Amino acid sequence: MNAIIALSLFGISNLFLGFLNNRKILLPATLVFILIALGLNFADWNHEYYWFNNMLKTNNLSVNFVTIILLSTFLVVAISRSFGDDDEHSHPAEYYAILLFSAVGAIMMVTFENLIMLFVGLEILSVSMYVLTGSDKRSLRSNEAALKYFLMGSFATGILLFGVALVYGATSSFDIHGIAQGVAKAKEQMGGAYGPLLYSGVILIMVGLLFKISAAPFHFWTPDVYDGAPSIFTAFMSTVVKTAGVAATYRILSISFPSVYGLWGNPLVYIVCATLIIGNITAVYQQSFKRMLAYSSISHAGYLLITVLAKRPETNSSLLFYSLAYAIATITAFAVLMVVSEAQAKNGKADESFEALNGLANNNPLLAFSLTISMLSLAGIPLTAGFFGKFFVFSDAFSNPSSLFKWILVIAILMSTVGIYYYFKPIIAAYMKKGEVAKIELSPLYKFILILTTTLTILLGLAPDLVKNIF
Amino acid sequence: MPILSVLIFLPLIASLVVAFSPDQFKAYFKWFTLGVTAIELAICIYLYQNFNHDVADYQFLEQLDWITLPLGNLGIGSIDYLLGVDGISMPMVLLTGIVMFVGALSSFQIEQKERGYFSLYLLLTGSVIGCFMALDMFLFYLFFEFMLLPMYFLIGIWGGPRKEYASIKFFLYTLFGSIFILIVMIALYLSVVDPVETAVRIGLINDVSEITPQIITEVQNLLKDLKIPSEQIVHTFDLRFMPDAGNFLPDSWLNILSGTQIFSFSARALAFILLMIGFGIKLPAVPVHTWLPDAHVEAPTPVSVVLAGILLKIGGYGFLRIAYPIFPEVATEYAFVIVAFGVLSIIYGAFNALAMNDLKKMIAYSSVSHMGFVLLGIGSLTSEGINGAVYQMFSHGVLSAMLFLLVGVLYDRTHDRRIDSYQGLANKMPLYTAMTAIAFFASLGLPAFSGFIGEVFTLMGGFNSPLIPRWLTAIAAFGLVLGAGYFLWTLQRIFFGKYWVRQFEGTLEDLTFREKSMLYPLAILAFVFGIFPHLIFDLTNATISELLKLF
Amino acid sequence: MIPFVFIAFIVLTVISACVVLWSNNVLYAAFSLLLTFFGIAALYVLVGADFIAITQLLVYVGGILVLLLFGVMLTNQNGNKENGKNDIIGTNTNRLIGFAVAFGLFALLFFTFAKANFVNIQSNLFESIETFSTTQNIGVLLMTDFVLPFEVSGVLLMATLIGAAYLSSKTKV
Repeated sequence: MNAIIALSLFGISNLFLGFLNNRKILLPATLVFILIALGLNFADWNHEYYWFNNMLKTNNLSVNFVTIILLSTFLVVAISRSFGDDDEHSHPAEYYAILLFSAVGAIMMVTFENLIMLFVGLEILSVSMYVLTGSDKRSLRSNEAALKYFLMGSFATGILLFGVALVYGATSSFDIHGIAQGVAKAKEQMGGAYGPLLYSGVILIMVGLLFKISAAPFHFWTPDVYDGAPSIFTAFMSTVVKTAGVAATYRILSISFPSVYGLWGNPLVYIVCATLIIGNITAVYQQSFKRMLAYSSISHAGYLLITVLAKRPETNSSLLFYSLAYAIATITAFAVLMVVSEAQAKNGKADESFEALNGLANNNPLLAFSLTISMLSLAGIPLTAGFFGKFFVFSDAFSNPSSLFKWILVIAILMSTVGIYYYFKPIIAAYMKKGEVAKIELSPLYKFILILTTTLTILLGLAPDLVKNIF
Repeated sequence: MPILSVLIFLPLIASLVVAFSPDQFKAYFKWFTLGVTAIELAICIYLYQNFNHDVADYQFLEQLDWITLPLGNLGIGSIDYLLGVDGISMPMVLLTGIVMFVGALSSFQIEQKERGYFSLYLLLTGSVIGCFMALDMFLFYLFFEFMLLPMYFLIGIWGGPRKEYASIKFFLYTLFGSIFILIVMIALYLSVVDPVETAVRIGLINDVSEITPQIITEVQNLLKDLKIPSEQIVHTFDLRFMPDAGNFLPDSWLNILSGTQIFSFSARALAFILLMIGFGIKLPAVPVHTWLPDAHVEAPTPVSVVLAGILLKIGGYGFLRIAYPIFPEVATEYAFVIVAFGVLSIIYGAFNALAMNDLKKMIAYSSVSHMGFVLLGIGSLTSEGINGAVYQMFSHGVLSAMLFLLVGVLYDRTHDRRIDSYQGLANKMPLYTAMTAIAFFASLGLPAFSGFIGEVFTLMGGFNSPLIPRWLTAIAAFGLVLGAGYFLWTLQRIFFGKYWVRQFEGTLEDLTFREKSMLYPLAILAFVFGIFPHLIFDLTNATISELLKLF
Repeated sequence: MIPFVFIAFIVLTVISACVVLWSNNVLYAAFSLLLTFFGIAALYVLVGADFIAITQLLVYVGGILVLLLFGVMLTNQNGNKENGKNDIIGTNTNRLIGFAVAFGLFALLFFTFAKANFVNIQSNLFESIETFSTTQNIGVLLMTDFVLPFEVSGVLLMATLIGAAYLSSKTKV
């Protein structure tokens, strides 16, 4: 909880730091800020506590989620390379400040106890992302992406709000535990009368949130937006926003509406299947690495939602583990994509296609190796973190007796095979295709981050119980 | 000394050493790799010597706790680092030692990116040998999947012109199969209980070492009566506990008594079928064999050797280690289907081999045909059949390694693998001709060579088995005739007649010293194992009679 | 009397909203939007939500709409040079998808409200409302129970401000 206050203050301090004529100080300062917030976050460990009249609640689950969010933010900031601090057009102070603010929003989305906090958190995160998506003002694609994201995102927020209002009408509460009681009370006192309002409310809330985590059929904005936004912010969007979104969805569905599982479970089954199929199949046809990663993020939303749907006590830890493995691998992939696409730029435009990676391994073994490990982890090959992520997800789905889960499993299995095909494209390009990538000079911090994330991915693949026991 | 761990970790560490050693040692990488595989071979022979033939159970056991996962109200999940060999895996471990050594020798011709090649080769060695020794299903699966990666890169980077297609096809096929195995693995894991650890949890004993059969029975009885609280139950991947029906949770999917139905199949039958598909792709059985010819054609010679010599055996080994002991009643029920697929592989592979003009493809299809005999032997569920299947795997490992080396010899000289490009080579390359003749005759099942024993025993098993009709085995026997057909025909076309080679001006040299040192020992092995079959049967007999008691 | 007023305002709102949708002239659309907002504010008054009604008028009619009109008027018009008309023409595409989504939402809400038993819900779940001004209650609640969202909205505004300032700042192309 203190992390929220601290990060808000740090964001403003960042703006003031921007007045200094020394841009070099911004990156280390932001990293330190995030680390302090991370430390404050751990103060809530083993304290179950309600803050500000039941507005927020911290417990170990939320602390874990916040840790993943802050870790992802840390990694993304660390690979930002000061946003090209020699470039007079860039405004690193503003970028860092907005990133910190959006982390505040994300934290609120995983600790909220009142739907108003969910809404405010979601808005902070979304508004920040609209701005960051359009931050490359000289690129037409970036502008288009920002506008598209803004229009679609506002629409989704509106739907979410409508859902909140209807749920309030049905249960007379904004408090997520209060809603659960309200649902029970309504069921008991009114028989079927609670039905329509609650039903529509739950569906609309779900649609609003699923839009943010780009589950099919609400994913249509994702490829364009992820593709158009500057890579560094795409990395942020596909990790932090997704983790926060899934956590929020899980939180509200599992706390407020467990007693009406059929209401949201049945639609969610079809949504999960559609997400898995659309995300994976479309990714196969992509020529651009970045766009492929966008579709891959859609498909991973599907796997994450399986655990939400499984609704078991272990879901917490499966969800956390999967998010962590996914976030680390995705950030590694984007880190490699960013430097390589800039080094291979044609006519001043970064080349984000698979061809840009051709022959990467010859002169840049570290980049190629990190890329390989991250792709293997996303594909779920053993001895990487992603494998155990998938393993836990499948175990969750397996131990659910419902017959629908068998179909989900069948689809998930088929689709993870499809996934291997496209995740191997960059590896093939890097190791087997002929091409030339000049040796890319990396800063020590960048190298450190690449080695750190790669090591983490392998370490979690060798000994998942290191973190699984904490989660 | 934990000798099995040494077998796994020696090549893995050596692989890291190669990967991180500076470029000026480039010339020594191949010698280093050869040395490491030689040590591996020596250890395998040492194991072979010290293997107790009369014990059916696992020997040289090593066990360490690896991953322990709290599963909430499902209990505790435990993954162990558990190694051991028995009569089924011992021949395979020995085969791995031999083929990996020969493959290292054959790798001397690799001339680009040596560092990558040899470190991947060593990685492959470690994971393949680990796969044959792992007794924890999870560990098995890890090695099983992990060996695909070095293999993928070995084909994909050092392969022929269509290497990208071939390598990704190989990878996708096997991975598709292994995901089926993963599913069954998770289902088994949720169903099977480790009675020893559970006894410790519920306080029947204080330490794992105090376990007695009575305690295990007691735990199993408690389990059956649902008297153990679910938080105390320890789930396991341990393959030693899976064959015992008493270790299955009473209401779990794969318990034999629960009779769970999925898509109108019984859950156990479905699990068995999934395993058969998973391992069948690896074997490979027709109709999921199409990756094999492609992979072989594009792979460099040593990789082909390893692929045909060892990797295919993992399919057959998986049947015997996992699918059959855990689901014996399903295996009996589906014996006809399994054997039918085996016979289909035999005949279809042989006909394809007859039609092929590419020497490597011809041998690849002959592999499909020969591995069909393995399926026949296993499916017959008789002592002769299964012993013969293991024998056939060993023998085919040696012979296919030899065959691919021989193709490599020719390809190195002319870069042409078409059968109709050669005539009358016997005049120019007498030693090469002799070696090829031995390999061909041994493969087609000439008595006194190892191929004969394997094929005869599997066929005997097929005829003796009460589960399969005679005519099916009779068709399989027809495969022998076809085999003789394509081998002899190829022999005649390439080696006899007037000397002629298409578009090749230079002179063809006979075998070099390095080639001799690879081929002669293999030829001798084929001969020795053909005359003294008990060298393998002594190993397998006790374990397989124990296995057959389950049926 | 009240129902007739109610219906009148609904008709006003819907018709002006339709004009916003169908009109090709942005200026007409902007003025119809004014009527829509006004109609909605009136509906709020009629359901007893006085504070929201005032907010609606102040923020939307007084603030946003004026800004919108300024935006329209200050936009450079290079478009229609042939006939010299001073209009900004907007075209809309993808009508079908828009219709489908709108119709779906409308159907969902229509059935929701048609089927929900509001009398029952009101009597069982909610305390009866006293009919004096809600403004005071809202103010008290914002400063007590809901002080955190109120404060945190500051962060939201801050992020929005930075973004707006950054996006509108001049950049050399």
